[in-house]
Amino acid sequence: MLEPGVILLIGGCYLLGLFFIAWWSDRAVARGRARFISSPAVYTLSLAVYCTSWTFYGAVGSAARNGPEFLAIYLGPTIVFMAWWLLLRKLVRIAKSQQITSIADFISARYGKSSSVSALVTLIAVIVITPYIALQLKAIATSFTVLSHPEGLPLAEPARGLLADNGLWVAVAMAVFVILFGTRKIDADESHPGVVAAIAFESVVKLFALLAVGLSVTLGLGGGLDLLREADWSDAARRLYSLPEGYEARWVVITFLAAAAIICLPRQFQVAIVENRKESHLATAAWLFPLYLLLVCLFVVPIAVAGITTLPESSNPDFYVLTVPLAAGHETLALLAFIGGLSAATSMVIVASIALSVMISNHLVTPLLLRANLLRGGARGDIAGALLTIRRVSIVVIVALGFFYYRESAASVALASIGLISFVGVAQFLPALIGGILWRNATKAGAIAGLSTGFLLWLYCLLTPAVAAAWNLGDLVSLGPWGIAALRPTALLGAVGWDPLVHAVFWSLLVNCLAFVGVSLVTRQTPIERLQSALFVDVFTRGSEAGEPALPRSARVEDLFDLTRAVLGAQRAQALFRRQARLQGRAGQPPRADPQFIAFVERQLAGGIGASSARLMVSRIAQGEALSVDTVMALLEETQQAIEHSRALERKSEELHRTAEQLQAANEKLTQLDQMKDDFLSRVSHELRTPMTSIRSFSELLHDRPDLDPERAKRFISIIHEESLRLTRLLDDILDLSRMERGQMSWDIRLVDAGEILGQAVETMAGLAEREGVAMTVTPLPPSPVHADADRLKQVMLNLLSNAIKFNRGKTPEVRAGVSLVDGGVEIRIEDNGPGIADDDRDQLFTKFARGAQERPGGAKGSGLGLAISAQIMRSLRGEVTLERSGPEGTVFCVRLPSAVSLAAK
Amino acid sequence: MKAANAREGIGQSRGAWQDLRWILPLAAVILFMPPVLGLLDHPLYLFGVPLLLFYLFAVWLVGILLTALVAHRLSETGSPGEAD
Repeated sequence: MLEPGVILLIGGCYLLGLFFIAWWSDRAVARGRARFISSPAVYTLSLAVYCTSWTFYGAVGSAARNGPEFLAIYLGPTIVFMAWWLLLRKLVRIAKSQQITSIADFISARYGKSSSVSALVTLIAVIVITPYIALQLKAIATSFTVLSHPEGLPLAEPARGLLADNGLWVAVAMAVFVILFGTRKIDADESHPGVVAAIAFESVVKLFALLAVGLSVTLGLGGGLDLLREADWSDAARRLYSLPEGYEARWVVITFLAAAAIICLPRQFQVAIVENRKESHLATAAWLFPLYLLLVCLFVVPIAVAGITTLPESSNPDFYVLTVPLAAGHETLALLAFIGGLSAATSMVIVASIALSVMISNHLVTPLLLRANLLRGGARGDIAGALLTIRRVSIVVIVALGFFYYRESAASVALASIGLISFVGVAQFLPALIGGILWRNATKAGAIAGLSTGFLLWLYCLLTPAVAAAWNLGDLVSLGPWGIAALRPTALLGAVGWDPLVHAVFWSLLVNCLAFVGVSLVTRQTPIERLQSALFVDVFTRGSEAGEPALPRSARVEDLFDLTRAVLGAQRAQALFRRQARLQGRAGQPPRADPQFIAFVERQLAGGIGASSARLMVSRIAQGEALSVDTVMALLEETQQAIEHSRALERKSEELHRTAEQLQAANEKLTQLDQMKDDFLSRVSHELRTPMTSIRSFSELLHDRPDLDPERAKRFISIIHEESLRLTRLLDDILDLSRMERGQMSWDIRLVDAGEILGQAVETMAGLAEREGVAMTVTPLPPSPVHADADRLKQVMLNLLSNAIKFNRGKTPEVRAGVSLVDGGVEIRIEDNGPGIADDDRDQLFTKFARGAQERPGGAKGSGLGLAISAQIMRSLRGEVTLERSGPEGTVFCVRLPSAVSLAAK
Repeated sequence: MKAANAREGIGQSRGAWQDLRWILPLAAVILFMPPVLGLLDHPLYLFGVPLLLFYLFAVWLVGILLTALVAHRLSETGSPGEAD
């Protein structure tokens, strides 16, 4: 048994906790900490304000009444977020570039910053959202009653005195919360970190509570319902997971409404578009937010099944989330569910009242005061203060309206139906909003016509029947006005037998769209509308770098400063003006009041008081020539041309830069190649010259002195023979190398064992080693399969071994060879204990005719091409040969090849 | 030449991901709408779960996973294209 006092205490503690979180986050952000508040995850959680108590309690109720239909309310937003780059991204980009403060501001800014459009949107929003706020308060009050009456809810709720109604206290707490944390300052960079943190926290709480109830239902709440057992899906609950007859129209319409609501609900526009910190957060929310919705929906049907099968029929399905755990004796769980419902309801009230209060103060009150000349932007004016007061009063008015609506609406409309009625109301914004960002020629008159006709039909077709019983309008609904049956609100023009929701959506949106398009086609845009429409529709192609086209206006900079200070406060105004002056190259002086600067000031003001009020205020102090559409078109074209021109220039200079770089690189390479060719030629001639010289001199001797004794003649001939052999070898090597470099060598690649080849090479070299007196040792060779050309690989090893033997002039010359297997490769190491290679020669070691190969102690001679050929061979075999180390204690060469085993494994 | 090929390859795969951005929401619209749902409305059970519910949640989850994958891929290869 839960004592009402305990429930109140815990609920009160929860609300206090919210105040604490908001206060702490505001402080942390002010000190530059708590960066997580501007993370995509917190952004996504703040979007979850979509799930109000209508979701928390109402989804189960809707499932119990209408089956899977409740899912459509979450599938609509899922689809919109999957296509985030199509609409949401454009809305965010426009809102940022225009400093938009609300959905009313957005629509009015598009249609020439018109104050009549923004006032109309604001009025519609207030009328549509008030019942929705009332719904939240009602949900809190009823859930409290349900929780404190475990024996079952009395059918007629007991009438409560005003002060005994806990709905009142929640309303008061919410109004105080929003005034404290939602209206701290008027700022172009409107952000409420405290509110965002609290909302994100509430989103976590409500999801956790719903999952806890769902899990306990499915995992055993007195035996429970095993989700994965067919038999547990009782036949009594069959309608929960099958579609009713003729479900199609409602399903499509509800999905569409939900998709529209995720953009058009003022609170969703506030959190998704206005409070968006970074466009890239949308990409994360695109999947994270649908995932949140999926988790919210996951246990709705099981809870409804449990409610239908275990609770008496009189039990209200809207509160199964509470009554199911309560009936099973889980009071703590029921209390957790109550807190979850409380968090769902309060987060909606908080965000909706912030969004609405901004709209009311910016679009209803400020323009009125401006027109009545009650608000002065003069030297002594303090519009900022007045604005904050207006906002605070608006919040109290909104919450009070919601509260009294809830007290007065005796007719108990099911939770889900109030929610859907609101959805249809805000969906009336859709044609003007989407048409505005896609269709250049939509006009202000068209928007007003569409919005007002759609809204009136919503009032007539949906709201009238809903309040008919309470307001004694039964006759109007059943017989039609003046008895004209064709005008009945639920069967307009003979649409008899339609579902009321489908009926209302069809007529209101049809007429809305027709009026919007039709009137737009027959009216003409004013110059400022033309300008704004181009800025909205082409936001991606125009880019931001060229700035906005500025209307030709002039004003005194002092007047502009006074106005900015009055609206944004002295500190911010000074900072803005100083920065602009610096950008204009006039640091230390007041900025020049050119048209660009006036446009900039207007946009900054719009961030505080909305585009239409900002325009009104600036136009009072700025004089401009009479604008014509031609002027605007010229302006637009001018900036467009400037953008294109600068882009073309940028592209061209980039191209030039790239070409110049390429040319320079090519030139360097050519010079290098030329140098190499010269070197090569001079070295080849040098190498050829030595044997040729000796061949020539010995053959001359033989030729000139026929009387030479046969012994000496024979020796000369054998020298000539040796030298010509050397010459041939040299020429062979040069040919080989050039063939390899040109890729004309044919390779015989097979699976061979590197160790075995090393063994063969060592054996071949054994004779030479013995002649030179070099001790040669081989470490045991593990199997080391590689893909290679055996002859070529052996050539590399022979070359390295012969170098190691020939140039080893130590006292006890030694050469060691070995194979090791390392991470996916085979390494062959050939070490000697010779004198090492001079530092200067190391860089050039593997190039042709490297110096080290020619001038060696002891006169040992090679062709000078051995290492160059080895390196070329290893490159062709996809391996490498490197000098691992060299010094007085010896030299180590290493040959690496990818192992055939690791290749196969890949 | 090699570099040009590689660039072309990246361009092609990026193009495929860009296409997927269109395909995902369109597929979601078709799969979540009446004619398809009507086909699945039978008293059948999959892993003990009613077919219709199983279908709705499974398609939903797969859609979420693919959206995450596309968002990840496109953010990896640069910001999503401006001109759509």
